[in-house]
Amino acid sequence: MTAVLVVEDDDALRELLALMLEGEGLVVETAANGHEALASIAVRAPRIVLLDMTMPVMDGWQFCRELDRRAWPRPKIVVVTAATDPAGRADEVGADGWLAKPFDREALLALVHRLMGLA
Amino acid sequence: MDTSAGAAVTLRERVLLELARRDKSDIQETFQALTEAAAVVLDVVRVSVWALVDGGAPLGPGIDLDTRIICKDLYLANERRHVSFLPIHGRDFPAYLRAIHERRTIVADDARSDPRTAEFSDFYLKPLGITSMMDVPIWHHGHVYGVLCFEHVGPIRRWLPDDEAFAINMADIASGCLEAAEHVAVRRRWEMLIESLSEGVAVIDARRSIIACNRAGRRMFPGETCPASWDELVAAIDLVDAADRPVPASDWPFERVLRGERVQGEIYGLVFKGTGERRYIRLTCSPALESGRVDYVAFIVVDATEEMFVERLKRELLSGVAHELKTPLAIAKGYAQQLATTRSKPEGLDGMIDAIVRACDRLDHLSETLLDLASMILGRLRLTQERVDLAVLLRTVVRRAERSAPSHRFQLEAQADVAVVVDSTRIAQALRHLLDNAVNYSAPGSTVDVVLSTDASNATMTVRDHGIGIPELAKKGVFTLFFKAHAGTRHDAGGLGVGLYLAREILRRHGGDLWCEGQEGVGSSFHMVLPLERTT
Repeated sequence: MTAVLVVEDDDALRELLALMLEGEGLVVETAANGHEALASIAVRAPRIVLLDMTMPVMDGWQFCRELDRRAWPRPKIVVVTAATDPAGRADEVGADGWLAKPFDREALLALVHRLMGLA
Repeated sequence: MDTSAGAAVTLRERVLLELARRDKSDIQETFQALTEAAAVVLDVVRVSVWALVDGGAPLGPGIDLDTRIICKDLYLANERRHVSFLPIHGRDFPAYLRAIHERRTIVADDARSDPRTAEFSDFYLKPLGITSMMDVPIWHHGHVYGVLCFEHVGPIRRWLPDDEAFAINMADIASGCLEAAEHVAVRRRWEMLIESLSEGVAVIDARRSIIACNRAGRRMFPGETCPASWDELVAAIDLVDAADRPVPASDWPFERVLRGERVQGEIYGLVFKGTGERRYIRLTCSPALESGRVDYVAFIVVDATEEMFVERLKRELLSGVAHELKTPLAIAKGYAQQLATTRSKPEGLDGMIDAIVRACDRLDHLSETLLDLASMILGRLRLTQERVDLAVLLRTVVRRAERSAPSHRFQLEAQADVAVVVDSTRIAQALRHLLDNAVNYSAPGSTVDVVLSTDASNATMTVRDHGIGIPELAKKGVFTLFFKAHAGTRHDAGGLGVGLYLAREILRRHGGDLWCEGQEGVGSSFHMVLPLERTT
């Protein structure tokens, strides 16, 4: 079972996030936009989604609306954002947590572990 | 019954009434109407208006002999035409001038022998056949402006009291004419002035009638035409604020001024419904009060479209650049941190990785500063409210400073459980700016003291360094945007010169403050004050 789905349009950052989480022994899937993310969730049912907000094809806001329309068990969502007000971004889409770019490795891992415990 | 006398009175009355009624804004026309009517009514062949032109000495009891007497109009009844006459000099006619300044009517039945007018005999009266004169001063602003002169040709004429009364009436009408002309001139001058102002000026009364709008004001509207009424104005535009949020009709500046609020230099956008065109203005509204109520409101409008464009450019650029920095920063910092966790590392890698992470933190700090500056300048900084223990917050920030500035020792002295309700991210930022400053302006190896104390209502955080201090002259300026106390000296540590400005703004928006003290060469202390959480 997939633990974390990383949704991020920047290749380098997407791979980095996957690398960090896989280093912790977690099963990680990646998606480059909201559209790919929905397809991945349908098959893999991840427990946590790390979500970039500004992406081509389907952005984070639209992804969350689409997700809400589906009767799937909802994964925990962590907004990863460069916005000045990351907590506000998280509130906008009803996310369970947020990480401000650039994030600390420890902060990322602590948050993911905490949410894994809850999920 | 003397019917001719009765008819004459009627004629006089009619003439006076007509003259009183006419538009007196054109002074020359009125003088001409006056002299003509006076000549007919009093049956005098020469009626004229003369102005006394001040020679420079004060009017009043002392007579200014430099006064010149200038003919404004002379009506020759026999020829039915208006002519002019050469100016005459007061110096040549001192008795006459004195008589005029005694402000009395000069009634001279025998003008050639009357002491007040005899001076004119040889030069004026005899050559022209004038025998009797009646001169009435024309008043203006409490002074004698000039004289209305009736000059009779033929056998000596005995002026009647009625004649004198009529002449005085005519002179009064001339005074009124002067006043009206002056009024019109003042009004025209004002209108021209307001019309030529580069600021738009409009006046709207409390009943919402648009009373006036100058050229610059009209230029704000398409076709350079000011709406004819309030309804037309409301139908033509939508109003938005500087952040492009619509302003509801009840909060339009005009309504706010009616409610007694001040509108001073506020930025608004006018969105023209017809074309969608948008124009920004800087608006000041001045209410004119009458018995405590707003009678009308003057609008002073400056076009701010270009200013707003520059503002927006600044904002977009600033936040855009800062935002764009964050993803590459996340990548560099993340890989460095990831690298640090690998087991088999070549020698010296730890130090390098550390340097990369620190560089990323610095870049992040810079982009944060830029973003804060952008939102602070635009007044858009939204503060969150969290209940935090200031001691914990302080400890976290100091620990981070210890990591990024291993060159300095940090001594923290904080009492526990200091509850405040603040935006903890912003307060941490303000504190970071102070710690950065302390590190930048004191020698490696020196200590930075951080002290948290409280009194009944406030918490005070003090950051004290033992560095170069702030020159006395620069103390006032350190909180000014882009101010750098040590710019261009060997102590110049770089930076944007915005940290202290931002820190103080953050504190002030929390209802607190920030100030500094210290001595050049000894060190500086910065004190941050925050109100404590109210326990009641």
